[in-house]
Amino acid sequence: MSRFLLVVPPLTGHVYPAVGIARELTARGHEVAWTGSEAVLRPLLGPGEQVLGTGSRLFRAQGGHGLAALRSLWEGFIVPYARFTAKPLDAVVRAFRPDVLLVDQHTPAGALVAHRHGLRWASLAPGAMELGRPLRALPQVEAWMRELLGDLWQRAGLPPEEFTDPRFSPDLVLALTGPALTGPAPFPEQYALVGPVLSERPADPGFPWERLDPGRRTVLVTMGTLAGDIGADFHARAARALELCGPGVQAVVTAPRELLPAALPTGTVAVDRAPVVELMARGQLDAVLCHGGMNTVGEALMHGIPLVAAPIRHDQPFVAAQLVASGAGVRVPFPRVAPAALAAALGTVLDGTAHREAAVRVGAALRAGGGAGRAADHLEALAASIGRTRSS
Amino acid sequence: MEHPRPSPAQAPGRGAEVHPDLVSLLVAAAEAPPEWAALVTPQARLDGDLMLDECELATLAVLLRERFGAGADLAALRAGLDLAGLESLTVGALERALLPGRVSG
Repeated sequence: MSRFLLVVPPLTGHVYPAVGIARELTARGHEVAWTGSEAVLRPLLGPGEQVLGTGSRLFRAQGGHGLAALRSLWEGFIVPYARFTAKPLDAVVRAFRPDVLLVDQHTPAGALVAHRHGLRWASLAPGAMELGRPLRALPQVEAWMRELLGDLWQRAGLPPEEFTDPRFSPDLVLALTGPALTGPAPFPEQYALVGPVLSERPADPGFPWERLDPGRRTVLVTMGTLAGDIGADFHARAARALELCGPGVQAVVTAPRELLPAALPTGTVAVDRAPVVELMARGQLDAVLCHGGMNTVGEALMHGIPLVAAPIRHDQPFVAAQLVASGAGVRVPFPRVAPAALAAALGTVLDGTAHREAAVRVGAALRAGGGAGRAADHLEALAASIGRTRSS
Repeated sequence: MEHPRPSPAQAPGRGAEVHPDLVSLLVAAAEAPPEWAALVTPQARLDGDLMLDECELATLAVLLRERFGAGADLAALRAGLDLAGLESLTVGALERALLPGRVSG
């Protein structure tokens, strides 16, 4: 038996994929603990998981678009969150004494503390932002990120000559995608592309299943964290597009009610939160309109459901491009797609067979990555390889 | 860093200020409806105002080279900029850097 410590940011989309890996490790008899913001983790994980809190502080919401969103991600979250959690993480590692840390790429403090204690660590890449260098065309931006990480390394008191990019473990990088999306370009040998990891989420007893009309094709609209005018504007265009799709299409829209127009197409089910994976697994969905987030795209494809992606920020444009290249979906420009064009995109994936067939094919290829089971295999192998180097 | 918001609707001479081919290429790269061209002013930032993402900018780079030749190298221009420079890159600056002698208006 080994002890694994999962270091995750207080972001739902990063926590859920790790849940499946944690449960697989636990089922194999290992001891697993989570560390991060207990206020965020506990409601997501439930009462049964071991959570070693690092304290909570409100960080800037993930918003905006393009480079402003990238700057906000790094300067408003990744760096300050790493500084905020550095000392508590050190205490957590001393108390739990893990064999291996699994560190989300956006919580670099986990890698720094592992390095300080001489512990093995694996990186978890739940998205495409730090995978395959999507920003390699902008070398000064990549250098800016490395500089921020170098500052964190220095602040942690680690020797500069030992600098290791805390996003990329030299031993194991678990990526929740697969070549069916990333393409044929090879990754370094320590990368393991295990495909999406699906995990059960807290039940949503309030979802109005009885309102789903089996005689209509169903489109799930889920745009992640959207706020303000930009969100309301998109949802107004999406509502009009769904109306243009005609009475044969019903929408399930997950969004805060204040972002939705007063009048929605007949039969629209509008909810704050939907049981997305359950909807997919029950075969209730014919298409998904989303922001191109890796989780949603992976979940839909694993269930053979084609997508329309309207990417907003971060890795979403790159994931959307991968989706298009795979043939399993189409992309529309989030800030400016007109209702008629969006309706046409939805019609393309709903009416034809090509995208659905590709989604089934890509989904099967992603499943072949092995998911949580394969991830656990790699983590066990990493744990078995260590010589029990521990800090005092 | 604060940037002035463009007011394309009030911009005098809009449409004549940016090379019409460049406007067309931007509309194509953005997969935008024709009326979106009104936003394409010299002052409009590619990122913050026109909201072009990295994939759309890569498409624009290809279109520029096809239309204006290898010298119209948007990828090289952007590769030389830091984050602040990329955030503040405007249509006008792009036009001056990549299409010298073709700037209209």
